[in-house]
Amino acid sequence: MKPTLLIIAASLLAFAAGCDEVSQPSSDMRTAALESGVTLDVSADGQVLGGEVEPVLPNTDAMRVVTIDRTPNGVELNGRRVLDARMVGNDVLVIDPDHTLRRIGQQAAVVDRDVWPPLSIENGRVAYVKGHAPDLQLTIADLATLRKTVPMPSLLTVWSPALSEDGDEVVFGASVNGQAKIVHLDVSGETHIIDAKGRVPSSPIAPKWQDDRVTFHDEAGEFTVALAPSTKGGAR
Amino acid sequence: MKRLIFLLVFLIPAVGFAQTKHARPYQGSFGVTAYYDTDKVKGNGSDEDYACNAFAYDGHGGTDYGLPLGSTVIASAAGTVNRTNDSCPDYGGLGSTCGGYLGNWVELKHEDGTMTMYAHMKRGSIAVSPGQTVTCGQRLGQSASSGNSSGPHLHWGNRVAGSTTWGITGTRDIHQGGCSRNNSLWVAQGAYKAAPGAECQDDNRPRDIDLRINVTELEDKLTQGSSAERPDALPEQTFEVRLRINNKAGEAIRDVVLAYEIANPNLVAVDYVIESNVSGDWAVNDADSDENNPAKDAMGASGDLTMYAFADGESKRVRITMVAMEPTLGVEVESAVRGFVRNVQGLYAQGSFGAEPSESRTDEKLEVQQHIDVLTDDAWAFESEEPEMAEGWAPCEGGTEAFMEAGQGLAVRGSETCLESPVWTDIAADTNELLLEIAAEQSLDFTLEWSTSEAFEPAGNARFTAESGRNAVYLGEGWAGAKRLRIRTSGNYHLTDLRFQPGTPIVDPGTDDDVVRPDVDVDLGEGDDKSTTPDAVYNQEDGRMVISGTGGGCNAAGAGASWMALLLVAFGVRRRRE
Repeated sequence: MKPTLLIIAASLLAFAAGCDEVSQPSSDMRTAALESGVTLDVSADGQVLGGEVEPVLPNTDAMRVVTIDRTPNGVELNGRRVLDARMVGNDVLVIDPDHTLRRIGQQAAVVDRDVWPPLSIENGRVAYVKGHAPDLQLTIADLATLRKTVPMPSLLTVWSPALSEDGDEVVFGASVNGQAKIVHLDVSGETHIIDAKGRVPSSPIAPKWQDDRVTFHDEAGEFTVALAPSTKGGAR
Repeated sequence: MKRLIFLLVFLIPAVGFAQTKHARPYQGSFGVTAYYDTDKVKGNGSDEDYACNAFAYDGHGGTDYGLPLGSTVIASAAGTVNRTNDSCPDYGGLGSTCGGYLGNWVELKHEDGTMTMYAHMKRGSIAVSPGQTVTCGQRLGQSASSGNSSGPHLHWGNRVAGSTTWGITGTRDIHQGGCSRNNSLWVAQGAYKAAPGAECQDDNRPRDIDLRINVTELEDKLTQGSSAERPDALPEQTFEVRLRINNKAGEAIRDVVLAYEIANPNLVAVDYVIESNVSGDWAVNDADSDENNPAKDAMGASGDLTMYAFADGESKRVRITMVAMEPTLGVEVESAVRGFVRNVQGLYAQGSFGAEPSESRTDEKLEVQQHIDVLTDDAWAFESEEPEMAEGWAPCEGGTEAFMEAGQGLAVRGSETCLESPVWTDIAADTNELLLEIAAEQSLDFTLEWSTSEAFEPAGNARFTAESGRNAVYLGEGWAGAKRLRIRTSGNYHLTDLRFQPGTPIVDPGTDDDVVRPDVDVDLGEGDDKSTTPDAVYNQEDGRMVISGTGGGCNAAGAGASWMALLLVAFGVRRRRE
């Protein structure tokens, strides 16, 4: 790597890393930024989707763009520049640099536009935020029908959604009364503010919902919050 | 005389659209780390800054400044806090989503409808809250690297008025440059890559609000002297004065109060209506029925009109219906209708007409006035030395010299003199007598010619011998409808009074001893020469004495005072002298 790029990479203060880093909690995510190679997704059978994070100008807010160099079998994406990518069966969902969400593979389609990472995919649904920063709305699309819903249209600044394993609930970061909070939208449509002791998701890595717990990342690393039973959507 | 339909407009000059200009949005002199992507296309891989260099990144909708952590972020212009976000970590890093990618941020709305964004600020540092007004340079918080950020910096964005998005299509670059706009919206743009100037836009910059006045349905009848270029009304004539406020300030204006003054006792306001053009066509505005405004039929000589708020670009006007009363030409009273803006919330305040505004963010005083003279078409008194007191009477055809002499009326000199009436002369159908007061060294033979058109085309004439003093020249009804007169004679004289008497002559031959009633030969232009001097007949029905004699004057003692009294009755008004 050229010295200038090393300087640039050293100035990246957070999440150039992908799923690899999720699995090994870090006490300082800024060190992870020094790694330009990221894994975006790993399939159940071990196929890897990953690439290199493009360098950016220091002290700016350019989007994180990954140039894919590792693709799963049957989908040729090498060299493609993406904001995020996830595997869906034998296909891949990508967010292009122009913020278009596409399905690539056998069921190729444009899913939506003005989409921002990260993607959360569970049970045939994908959750993401859509709009223009900082006015980003929570959106959930059915991958079979491409039907999209905006469950909370009045909430304008939303980020990092995580679908429950059944795809019926979602947890996300949001600006609530001017403060960054974690919000749980349960299956009945009610919202609950989750006390995470001031921590909020802020990583390009999508939060992961597993059982009654959601694991996030912020600048301090990985953290997990437990959802109270009363907020889990007892109507299910 | 060429007639001018009056639409005089007094316009407060425009002073430019009130665009918000910006100052450096932080303390310190830190330079630029990435400019706005002026090709305004996200995802095309192209990055072009205002100077057509590549010191930007693809799709960047603002300008980044390399502020170290903890630097003070300030408002680039006065405005109101619209939204904020806080609680994101100070170091978000590349790809951080917190705060909708912008971390901790402040959104301001400015007076011109634009917005500014201050992003990636330090957690807990935000010092303002939504709804709060801020001044240019007021501290908003501290810088950091929250949200999606590759290192500490301030992202400053500018959203166009009316846009609903901070996307690149809803924002703009405010630098002047070959790949951007042709006028900078920085107060001082500064050198390439350097910090913009720290000087704030003058918060007292002029707002473009103007006040106009115009008069409809009146003509400039008298173009002489001080009455030149003033509309002239005739007694009992109804016309309209319009006062109009145009709001081009680039913002709404509120609590507008318009004051009016009718500084002419001979003009009376009888009605008004307040209209707005906000819906495209002029329509009655809610302010018209405000209970604090004067009653429609009782405006009086002065008052205030509550005009309510104006949207940006809206105009409102007050249409005041007025009636002219007595003639005013030469009268030493103000002959004007005036208007001034008494209040515009936060922008303008003025206590009285002519006074300096106690508060003004406009470039000019918002006051106007329109002089209006009231003439008469059937009575003249030439007792002033002022040329305008000739009130349209002027020499006609060669050899005549006519001018005003102080205290002696209109001097007419020459071997063959000719004096012509103004074009607005209008002899009513029931007028049958000319009253003429002259001063001459000897009796003079006069010929009176008249025309029924403004362009003088003789339609008839009358010949009589006038003595020095008052002459009541009975002409009958043959000249009714005449528009212009010419008075011809062959000697010098002073004309001090001339008027037409409507209806049956009202004089009392038994008391009027200083009025000469010459014999008159009238030629109606149809070979109908006849003497019109009537006999005096006492009208039994209304008690008035009617002239019907053939004599050259009434000699009854004490008739002068009665003659004057009857004149006043007959003409209603008499011009006030200077």
